[in-house]
This record gives sequence, C-alpha cells and structure tokens, in this order.
Amino acid sequence: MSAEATEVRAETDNVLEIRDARVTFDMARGRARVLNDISVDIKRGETFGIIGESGCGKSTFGSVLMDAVEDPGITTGEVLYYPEEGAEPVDILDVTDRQLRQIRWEEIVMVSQAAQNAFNPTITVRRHFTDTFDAHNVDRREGLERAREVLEDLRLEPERILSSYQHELSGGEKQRALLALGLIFDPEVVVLDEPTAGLDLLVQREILSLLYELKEEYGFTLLFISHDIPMVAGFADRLAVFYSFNIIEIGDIDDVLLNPEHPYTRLLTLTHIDLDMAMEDVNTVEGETPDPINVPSGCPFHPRCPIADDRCVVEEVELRGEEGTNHKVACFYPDVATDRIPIHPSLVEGGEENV
Amino acid sequence: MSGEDEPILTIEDLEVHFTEETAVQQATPQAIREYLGWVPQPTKAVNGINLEIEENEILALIGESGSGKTTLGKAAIGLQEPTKGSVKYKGYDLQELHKKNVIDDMEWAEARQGLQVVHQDPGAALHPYKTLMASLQEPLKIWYPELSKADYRERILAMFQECGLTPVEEYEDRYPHELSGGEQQRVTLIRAMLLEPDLILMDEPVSALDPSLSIDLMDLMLELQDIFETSFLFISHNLEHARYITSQVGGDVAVMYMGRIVEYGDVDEVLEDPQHPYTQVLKWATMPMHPHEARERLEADTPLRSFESPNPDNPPSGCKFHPRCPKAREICAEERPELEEGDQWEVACYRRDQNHPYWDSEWLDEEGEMDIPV
Ligand SMILES: Nc1ncnc2c1ncn2[C@@H]1O[C@H](COP(=O)(O)OP(=O)(O)OP(=O)(O)O)[C@@H](O)[C@H]1O
Ligand code: SF4
Ligand code: SF4
Ligand SMILES: [Mg+2]
Repeated sequence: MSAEATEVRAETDNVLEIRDARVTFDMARGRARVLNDISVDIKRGETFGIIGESGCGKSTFGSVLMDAVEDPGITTGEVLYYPEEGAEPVDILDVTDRQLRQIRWEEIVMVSQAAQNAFNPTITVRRHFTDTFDAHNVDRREGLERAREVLEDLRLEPERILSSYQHELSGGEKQRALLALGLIFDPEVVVLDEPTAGLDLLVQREILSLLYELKEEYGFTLLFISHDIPMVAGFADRLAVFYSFNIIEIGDIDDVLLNPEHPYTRLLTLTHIDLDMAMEDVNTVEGETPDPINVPSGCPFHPRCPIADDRCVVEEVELRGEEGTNHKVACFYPDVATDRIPIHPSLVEGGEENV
Repeated sequence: MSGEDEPILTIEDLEVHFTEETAVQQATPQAIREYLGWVPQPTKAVNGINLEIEENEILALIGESGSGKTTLGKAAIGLQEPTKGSVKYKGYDLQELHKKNVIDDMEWAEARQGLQVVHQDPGAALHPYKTLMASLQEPLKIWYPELSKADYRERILAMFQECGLTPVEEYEDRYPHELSGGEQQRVTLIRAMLLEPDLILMDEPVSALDPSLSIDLMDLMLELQDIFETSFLFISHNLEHARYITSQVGGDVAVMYMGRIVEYGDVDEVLEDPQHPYTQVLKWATMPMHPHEARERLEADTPLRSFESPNPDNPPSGCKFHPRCPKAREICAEERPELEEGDQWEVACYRRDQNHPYWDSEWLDEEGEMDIPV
C-alpha cells in the first residue's frame, strides 16, 4: 500500500470498506441477484442511515456485513473491517469460522427485524446472557455485572428483566433487552434493522430517544435500516437510498434529504404523510418493484421514472458526484430531476412547494 | 326503531370485561375460592363507549396496544359479546339477533355478512396451500350458494382488476407466498369486499407495509368505498395513517386510552390541534421528516412522566392518564373526567373547561407542568 493511500485512510478512518458486495440465490425461475455489487465506506463513529422500499436489499446488505446471508445464498466481494484506526483490516467474507464467531457480537452486531421472537421462549433472559458469555469465553460473573449496567442504561430493572422469560416482557422491554444483549461486548459496529417494527408509537419513540443517547455514550458506529425516512432523519449523519438491490443516492443527511437529486429519492419523500399538511401532497412511487431475477436493463429505475429517456433504457448508470462532495447519485439527469420532480413540502425551506 | 335509515352501527354504553384467572384458580371450587378470598377482579378492556358509524363513513380508532381498540372493534362486528351496553346493526341488537336468529326481517346471517374484518397479518387470512382463486371462492360458496363457479370466478377477477392485481389470469393461480406483502394485504381486502359488506373492520391493515404500499392500500380502500359505499372502522396506532384514510372523506378520529375514548372529532381538526394531552403526546411522538426538526425532537425532553403504560388490571385512580400526563394536577388523580363536548369537540380532560377547579388544583408533583412541543 502506498504512503499516500495510507494517509487518505488515516484521514477518513473507515471502520468498514465494502467492495463489490453481491448476493445471489439460485431459484427455480433463475438466478436472483438480491445485492448488486455494492461498494461503500462506513466511517468510524458515524450514524449511517439506510432507506428504501420493501424488498430492495436493505436487510441483505446488513447480513453481508457479518457474512450472515442465509443458505443457499452466495455472497461475493469484500467486507474490510478495521478493528481500530490504522489497524490492518480483515476481510469478513474471508475469515475462519472461529474468527467470524468472535467478530459477530464482539465487533459487529445486528439487531434485526424479527426481534420480537428472537428470544428462546423456554429459557430466561439471564440464560441468554450467560450462554453468550460461555460462547465468547467471558467469565459469567463479570459478564452479568456488565449486563446489569447495560440494562440500566436502557432504563430497565436488571434483576426483573434477567429473571424473566420472553412472554413476561412487553414488546418494548423485549426490544431493549435484545439491544442490551447486542451491546454487551461493547461492539465497534451496531446494525439495527427496523428496530422499532411492530411496536407502539410511544414505545418506538422511547427506543429512538434511548438509542440517540446510547450512541453518544457508547460511541459505536451505527447503521440504521428503515423504510420510514422520519425514523432515521434525526439520527443519521449520512444517508444511503437503496433501490433495486443497490445504492442509488448517498451523502450527508442534509444533502440527500433537503437536496435529493435522484428521481426515486425525490418521489420517496412524497410518500411521507405529514400531520400538518394537506393530503394532496402525498403520493406513492407508482409501478412495480424490481424482480431480482429480472432487473430492468440500463438504469433499473427507468420503468418507473417520470423523466427516463432512451439512454436510461440501454446504458448502465453508476454512482457519481461532483469533485469534493460526499453527495453521489446514480442518475444521468440529476439536474432535470431537481427541476421537474417535486419533493415533500416539509423539506423545502419556508414550506413552499418546489415544483 | 329499526330499518334502512338507521346507522350501520350504533354502539351504546359498551363495556367489555375480561377476567383473568390462573389454571389453579379456575380448577378450584367456587366455595373454596370465596373462602380464600379469590375474587377475580375483572379487567375492563373497554368502558363507556358510545359511537355511531353511518353508511359510507370512515372512522379511525387510535390507541396503543392494550388500549382496547381491537376489543372494541371485535364487539362492533359481533365477534365479542358485550358485558354491558349494546351494539346495534341497522338498529337491531347484535346479541339479541344472535340468540333469536331472526328479528322482523333481519337475520343474524345477514348481519354477519354485512360486518367483515381484515386483520393485520394477511398471511393468516389466506390458505397457504390453496391458489388465490380457490381461497377466495370459499366464502362466496357459503354466502352465495345459488351462484355458479363461473359467477364466482367472474366476481373475483373483476375485483382483481379493480385492485390492480393484473394480469388477472396470472394472479388467480398464484399461492399466497408468491405475493408481496402489499399484494397479500390487497387480497385479504378483496376477500372481505366480495361479500359486499356494509362495514369492514380494518385492524392495523398497513402497519407492516412500507410507506408507498401503505398509501396504495389506503387509496384502494377509498376507491372501493367510492364504488361500493362501504364503511370502514380503521384501527391503527399510527396518526399519519389515520389521518390519510379519514381526512379525504371528512371522517372522524377516536383516540382511545385504557379502554375509553379520550378525544373524538373531525380528523383534520383533532390532529392539527389536539386538545387531550395524550393525543398531544402522540402527535409529539410522530417524527417529522425534516432532518433538523427530527434531530431537535430527539434532543428535546420527553413530555411524559413515564413511558410505561399502567397495568390494566390495576388501573390508576381518577383520570387514567394522570400518572403519565405532562399536565396532571392533584384533582386529576381524584376524579375521572367524562368525554364531553368542549369548545371544539369531545375531550375527556378537565382542561377543556376554563372554569374547572382543575386550574386551581396543585400540580401533581414537584415536576410541575411539562411542555409538549408540537
Ligand atoms: N432466502 C432468500 N431466498 C431468495 N430470495 C431472498 C431470500 N432472502 C431475501 N430474498 C430476496 O432478496 C430481496 C431483498 O430482500 P431484503 O430482505 O434484503 O429486503 P429489505 O430491503 O430488507 O425489505 P423490507 O423493507 O421488506 O425488510 C427480496 O427480493 C427478497 O425476496
Ligand atoms: S438514469 Fe434515467 S431512468 Fe434512471 S433515474 Fe435517472 S433519469 Fe430516471
Ligand atoms: S384530566 Fe388531568 S391527568 Fe387527565 S389528561 Fe387532563 S390534565 Fe391530564
Ligand atoms: Mg428488511
């Protein structure tokens, strides 16, 4: 590695560098490519938001970071993990099972969508903790000591929670206990996949506030996946918009939300129902979501894009941005998009419509 | 007092109680239970509910899990027997109709057909090993035995067309697992609509869908209502969905807290300027999309004394919201405010009345009053 490259790295201090990550599934109908050559860097300590419609590959991307794509899925590419600044990276897709077991949980954890059923109903929360300690060669007493602290940080009563079975906990308690289990080894990277799905409004809100505080206190890198923009809008330093198994727009949160340049991102903002605004402004992104076996040619958004032309149908489009900015977009005509496709009025300064 | 000009549903002083007992308690003879002082305390799942739903109306019911919204919904369509009070379908009491089977020219079967339900989990409503056509024909066979198979198919394909499941011939042979979440939810709506009901109870129908699909399904409901004049009782914990579905037809919203309706009125007015502190807190909890506003909201103090909802088996005294209410004064812990017309609409909170002794009562604790920034 050249001295120059090392220097750039030191400046940016990436915790993860993902290169050409691809996931395929062979199915009766053909080969499904459910993650399509994603390359992206995650900075140490940042909160990285991921949004996009159902089925666009968000959870798959999260799984790839821990090489946890389910069989018979095949993952290729590189996921370089830098345990600390300046350290030699390891490729998570190319480590021994032993190393992987250690990295998952101690270094990178994912608390996923199905959290409500993640606990084994026949054992107590304490057992979940002690089993985890055993698997990672951690002394149970010391571990439980730490568990109590983390549970308290999550505003739970440690003793009651530890001695409970999952059915004795409310949805919000279960979700927080699961977060505590994820944070128990002070991981470097935390991936949250729809962490408030299925929870009541006030419980969701409590978990958001808690995460916001904990993030500061624990200092982990946070990847926050949701299909709901408002869930990540207040958290994220950067935002990536997924469409058709790839990133189609990425940048600092203000750039991507207040100045979106991809037609899909702009249309996606219009799906937000604002309690103080007229319902006429609400819109859906019309058309079919792409089929992973049969992704459209050229720009995969062209069948739904209001400004697509012939070029979009034939030519492949890549993430590009202007020199010196973080804001990148996979569209041939970002200026036309900005001109012709409105965004949600609440994102426009002064609340005026940007048509 | 019954007939065509009656509302589809009239709910009067409805109460539903559940008694939770352990297996040991249930197995113990009554005399011994009494001797041991095991008198089961019923939990009032819903209490003091009065509602009317007219033809072609949409009412949104908002509340947290455990607030009783599903119990109220079930009672409204005859799936849950009231402990007290009554539910009338076109003027006929559902319980009486159930017992007698026929009153005047109204039959129990007609009421059952007229009141349908769509659940949160679309998977549960469809048979996993049957094609959509086979699954959807089943209810038609029961309710329209006089029609032929070709008639059933025609009706089903027409609904597919109406609901955007096209090409229809491709969809009829599909199995539920070959549908996306949004499509499955559309099929369960079709299943309910095929019976030409007067009212459909939609219990959290879009809470598992992404924003675009949620809007699609709600738009579909509105279109179907336009054609068939169906009424909807729409249950949700999401204010945004409640507003979207009701606002466009000038519908109402009812906010439930611990079994009671605490605020009721026109959806746009109520959500723009909620009067009950609980509704205000729900609005506060609904995150804005603008990144700066959202961040501000996350950094601000929570306008709640406690996030935890109280144990329904042991409800708080007075106003049930007082242990969490950011505006609670001592009087709130003593007596329960009724749902009454205020300056604007119905609210169950003392603050609706400028002259109420509430205003001279001491704050509940040293915390005093909390701001609800909405
Ligand atoms: N085990 C699997 N076999 C085949 N296809 C799969 C499998 N798991 C996921 N997929 C497909 O991969 C694509 C991406 O799925 P993924 O779960 O990553 O989406 P998502 O963006 O997380 O969606 P949601 O918002 O609904 O959670 C989808 O088309 C999905 O059907
Ligand atoms: S590249 Fe073409 S089709 Fe794709 S988003 Fe841009 S304008 Fe639309
Ligand atoms: S009556 Fe008192 S406790 Fe109840 S909502 Fe009003 S202010 Fe709050
Ligand atoms: Mg997912």
